[in-house]
This record gives sequence, C-alpha cells and structure tokens, in this order.
Amino acid sequence: MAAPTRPFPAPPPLGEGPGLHLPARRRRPARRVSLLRSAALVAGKDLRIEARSRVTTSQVLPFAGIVLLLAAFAIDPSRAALAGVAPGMFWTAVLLAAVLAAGRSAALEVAGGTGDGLRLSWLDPGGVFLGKVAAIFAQLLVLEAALLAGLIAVYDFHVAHPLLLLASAVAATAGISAVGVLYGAVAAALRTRETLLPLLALPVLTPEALGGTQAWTAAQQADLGDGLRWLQLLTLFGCVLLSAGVAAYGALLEEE
Amino acid sequence: MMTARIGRAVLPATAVLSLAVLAWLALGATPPDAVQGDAQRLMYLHVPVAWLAYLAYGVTALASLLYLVPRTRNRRWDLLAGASAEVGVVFTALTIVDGSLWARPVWGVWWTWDARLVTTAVLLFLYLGYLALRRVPGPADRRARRSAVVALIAFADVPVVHLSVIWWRTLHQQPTVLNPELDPQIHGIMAFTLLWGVLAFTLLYAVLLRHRYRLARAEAEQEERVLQLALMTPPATRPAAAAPEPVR
Amino acid sequence: MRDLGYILAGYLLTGGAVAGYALSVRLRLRRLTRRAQRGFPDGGLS
Repeated sequence: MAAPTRPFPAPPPLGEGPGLHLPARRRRPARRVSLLRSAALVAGKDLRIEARSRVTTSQVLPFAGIVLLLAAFAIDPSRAALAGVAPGMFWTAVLLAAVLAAGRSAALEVAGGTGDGLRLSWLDPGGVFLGKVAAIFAQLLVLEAALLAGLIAVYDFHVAHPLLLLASAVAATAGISAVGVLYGAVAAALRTRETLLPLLALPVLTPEALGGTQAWTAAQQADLGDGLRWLQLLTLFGCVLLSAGVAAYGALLEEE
Repeated sequence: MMTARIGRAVLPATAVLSLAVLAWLALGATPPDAVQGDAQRLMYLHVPVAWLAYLAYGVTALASLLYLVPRTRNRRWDLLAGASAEVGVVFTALTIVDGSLWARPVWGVWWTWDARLVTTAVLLFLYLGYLALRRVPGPADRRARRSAVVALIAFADVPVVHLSVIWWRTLHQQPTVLNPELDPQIHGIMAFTLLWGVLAFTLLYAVLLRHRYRLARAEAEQEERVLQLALMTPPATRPAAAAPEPVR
Repeated sequence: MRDLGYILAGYLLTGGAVAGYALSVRLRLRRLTRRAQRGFPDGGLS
C-alpha cells in the first residue's frame, strides 16, 4: 500500500482520453480478397491443421462416444427405452463435442498468433468466418456419422426416413458450427474460455438441440409427422445464425 | 447541491409509493379470479416483471447496437447495456419465481416443460452468460464489442419467449393483452391494476437502472484511474510486486 | 384468503429481492467511492 506521491489527476470524461479514443473511420484495405476465396483459404488451413493433428478424431470423437455411453447408463438400458431417447442423447453429445471443437478452432488463431495475421491481412472477415464454419462443419459431420453408427449399434436406433435424417443433421450442424465459430471468437483470447464458451454457446444452441432431436425422432417413425416442420425450423435457424456470424465476425476481429 | 439531491430522490420515492399502491390494489381492492381464486393475484407481479425484463433486454440490445456502430460508439452505451442487463436478469429470475409460486396452487406443479417456461429459462441463462462475459478483464473496447455482439444474439430469444405460447401448445396461458388479435382478455379493475403494476415496475426499473449505471460509471472511472496511474508512475516508485495473476 | 402462503411468499420475495438488489448496488458504489476518496491509487486492489 504505497501512499500516492502526487494527487490524482481527474480522470478524463468517459468517451474521451487515450484509453478510449477511437478513430472516427477505420481505414479499409483498398484491395480485398473476395469472400469466397477468403473462406476457401481459411477452411483449407483449418482442415490441414486437423489432418495433421487429428484432434477431432482422436479426442473429440471419443469424448462424444463416452457421453453417449454414460447417458445410456443413466437411463434404464432396456432396449425399448433407449431407442426413444437416442435422438436426444445424440444431439446432446454432438452439442458438447461441438463446444470443444469450437474452442479448439478459436484457439488455433490465438496460439499461432494468426488472429493478428488475419486481422491485418486482406482477407474478408465474413469469409474468414465462413471458412472456419466450413472446417468445423466438415469435422462435425464426420463425428456425427461415427456417432450414428454407434447409435444404431448400441441404442437400437432404426431409421425410417434417411433423407430427413441427413437433411436435418446438415441444417442443425450448420447452425451449430456458426454459433461455435462466433462464440469461439468472442471467448478466444480469454483465460476463462473453457468455462465461458459452453455457458455462452449452449443456451443459444437450444433450438438446434430441440430441432435436431425432434426431426430425428420423426425420422425414426413410419409417419413423418412434424418432421418437415422441424427441418424448416432448423434451416431457418441455420441461415439466420450464418448471416449473424458473417455480419458480426468482423466487429470481433477489429483492431483497437 | 441540496436541490439536486431532492430531485434525485423524487423518482425512487414515486416508485416506492406506486409499488405500495400496487400492493394495496392487488391484494385488497381487486376481487379474486373466478376460476383461480386468490392465487391469481400473483399475476400483478409476474406479468409486469416479465415485461420489464423484456424492456431491460431491449435497452441492452439498443445500447449494444449503438456501441457497435462506429459513428455512435461511446463507452456510455456499453455501461448502460451492462447495467440494464443486470436489472433484466433480476427481473427474469423474479418472473420465474413468481410464476412458479403462482403455478403451484393453480397447476399443481412448481415447474413444467412447456415452451414458455423453457424459453424463459434459456433467456435467464443467456444473460447470465452475458454478465459473466462482461466480468472478464481486458481492454475496454474489445470487451465492450464482444459483449455487444453477445447481447444482440441473446435478445433474439425475447420475441421467442413471447410467441412461444402461440407457436406451441403450452400449459401456460395465452397472452392476455399482447395477443395476435390485440384484444385484451382482461377488463375492469383487474385491467387497471395490471396497468398500474406495469407503470409501477417501469418506475422501479428506471430507479434501479439509474443506480446501477452510476455504479458502472464509477467502476469505469476507477479502471481508468488505475490505468493512468500505472502509465504515469515512474518505475522506481511503482508498487513493489505486481499482484499475482488472479485465478479466474 | 386462500393460498395465502403462496401469495405472501411471492410479494415478500419480490419486494425483498428488489430491495436487496438496490442495496447491493448502493453498497458496491459506496465501497468504490470510499476507496477512491481514501486515496488508494489502485482502488484498494493491493
């Protein structure tokens, strides 16, 4: 507790002063890489990193598998009950795995210092977002395919409408990937990322979980029922989340 | 100044007074519901507090948007957003608690998994996450920007909560006032008391918001002070050991 | 009054929560201004 050597200066009024002064206009690069090309470049980079490190296949997939296993223990393992809860358990496992994958995807930028590189580069921020979404999307689809196999084997899951299954999975995964990348960027450089990212992302993902579960439940039954309505909802959400991400990602990457 | 202090006390005094009148109206003057009996009196708390939560989150969303747009960017919007969200969380928690206390005698259960209740619970978690995010230390501008993005996404749940009873079949009743036909299903003194409740809680919201905003400004100024002092103090007289990194 | 327990619980909890929150804000504000006035450059963080 050192006594002050001189009286405090009055702090500058809020909104002014060195710490809070923001330039009125940010200079944009004159020549910019297109959105699609930026997306392709970033997606390629992330997928190449995954191909080399295999984190998703060696860590995230087993994690999701264990979640499914644990969930089966939590419920009465009589086969009739398991088939009923299989869709819910599947999407819960996917959501938890997705949060892990999203944290990893965001960490790639921080650890390698490439976040700054992306900021300073000519890449379109919306394209960067879509590229990262594409990379996570691909990894999650692979994960879901593997989990589906487990579901059929262990949870006595029978598919009556494979197209609905596939379409709803694609739609849901698109939304999940968008949320993962966006909130990953929000939490990226924070030390509390591991706890904060799930807390932020999971409530936003409840429509995906609900839609996915309902659609897959409908895909199990002979009668489609509400299945197509849920697919519509998932598609709508996916589009909205992707658009929101493209719009907001730039704001998150902006330099001070 | 003395007049300023009296002036500052007017709003809280009015709020407290109107809340007292609400209690008298809701508990005494208004008759019990024909079907639900006296338990329905909790509506005069539950509904206003729910609406004010929406308003609070709306203010947060608007302030966040104003912060994100470069032309209107100002730290005050960020502070306002945070303050309003905190009040909103208090109101959302109260919505759930009052609703639960109302549900128990009328439905027989404390909780049910219908769309209105679930989406409201999600709303609570969304803004708890927002508040947690705001507490993570960092450069003020970056903190404000990422909070603003999260606030805008979280606000999307507000219309979902309201429309949930229309989109899905719910145990929770249909909107009494803001239904699609815009035909309020409430009349007479009950309508008056409900309206009074909304006004009283709006005043309360304004009081709490102003208070919380003042705290937010004080915290921000303190932060600035600490930063400036760290920049100004020559190395020799700087506090000896930097505080160890706090465990977050 | 029927269900008086639930009604009272609701009104008292709501009032208490609101008052408690207002008080907590005031306490936090007071703690902050007092520290600044006392001349702790770091706001009493050390």
